[in-house]
Amino acid sequence: MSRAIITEQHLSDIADAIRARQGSGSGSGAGFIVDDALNEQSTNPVQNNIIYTALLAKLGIAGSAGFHNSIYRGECLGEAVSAAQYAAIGAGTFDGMYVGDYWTINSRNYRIAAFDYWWNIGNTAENNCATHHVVLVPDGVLTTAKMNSTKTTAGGYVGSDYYAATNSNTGRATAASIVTSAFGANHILTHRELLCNAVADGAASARAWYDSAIELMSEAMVYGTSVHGKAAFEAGVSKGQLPLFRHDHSRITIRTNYWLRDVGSADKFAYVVFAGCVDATDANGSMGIRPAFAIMAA
Amino acid sequence: MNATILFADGSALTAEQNGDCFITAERPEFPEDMSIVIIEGEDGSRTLRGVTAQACASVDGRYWFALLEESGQARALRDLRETIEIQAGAIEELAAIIGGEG
Repeated sequence: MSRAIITEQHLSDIADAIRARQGSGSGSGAGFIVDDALNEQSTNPVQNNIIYTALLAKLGIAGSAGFHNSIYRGECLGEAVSAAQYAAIGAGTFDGMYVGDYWTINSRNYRIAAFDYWWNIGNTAENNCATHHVVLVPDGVLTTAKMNSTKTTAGGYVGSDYYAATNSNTGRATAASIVTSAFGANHILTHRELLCNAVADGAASARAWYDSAIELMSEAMVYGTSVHGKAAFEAGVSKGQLPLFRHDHSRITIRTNYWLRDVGSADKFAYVVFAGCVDATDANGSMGIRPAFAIMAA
Repeated sequence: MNATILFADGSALTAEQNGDCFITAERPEFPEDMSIVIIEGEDGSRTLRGVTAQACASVDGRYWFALLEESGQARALRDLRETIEIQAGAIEELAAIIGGEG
């Protein structure tokens, strides 16, 4: 291994070389020429972002949901979704957006939980989800509500007062109103979801397909597995843990109780306990509403 | 998509199928014998044994129901209970005979 000592003369020679190079440019402000594209013949330096994009393209992951689902960042993206951000969502490139990033709108943080989570899902070719989207979950609860006015889970999630807005239950409508006013109804994705609509022996016993936009999360979405819910009827199409919660478990616990949509027993629905543990509690209890939904290009 | 539900007594029912559910305008009359039910629907044909019809939550005013099949475990438990009842009955009869002789 050879060693070279850099002397003052060396540095002076380098400085001369740079001055000579700068002098070889043309026009005002002449200096180094920095290429804005990769070129086989050029010996000039290349812009950083060009190299970055080229490397991603080489890996075959540029602009993919999988790539963006794999990186947790947690940066604020602004107080509204910009036109450029919506364009990137619509194109499915998700440029500049990563799991954990968030928008602060009307004093609420809406955090990116997944990219294209419901992509390619639907019970017919016509309602198959082919719209690129970003799943968001608010950092806190949007409101509080009971699942039912009495201690029962009959009818499952679909049969609940919360879902059906029966017995003066306004929880779902309130949550929808808050989300819609923050993003605009034309930016909220409607997709197909398999939801529990019957309970037998204290567990979910049937499910059906419904249009879905702003729903309570399932245990699978939050924990990555069914705990109280009977997975065969509860997991449905939202069967995997949202990357937000996979990358950062601290995002699950928000020091406030909030409902999940899984049936825990004949009279209890699942919920996330403020203290950080899983549990199920009486359906007529009042708990936080922390739904998941997705935004899309209009 | 519609499904045809065939019952052991030869009767049949046509209903809209959605997931695990079937939908009819009103609650249908289910036959007493639900020991075997054949469903010809979107998943092809499948046979259920020891079926009970269960009402599901309706979102459109129509009647939504699911057909729940008795699990193998539940069937085995039911068979065991029947066997125990028969044996208990036999023991009672035997005891009565023995007691009568005494």
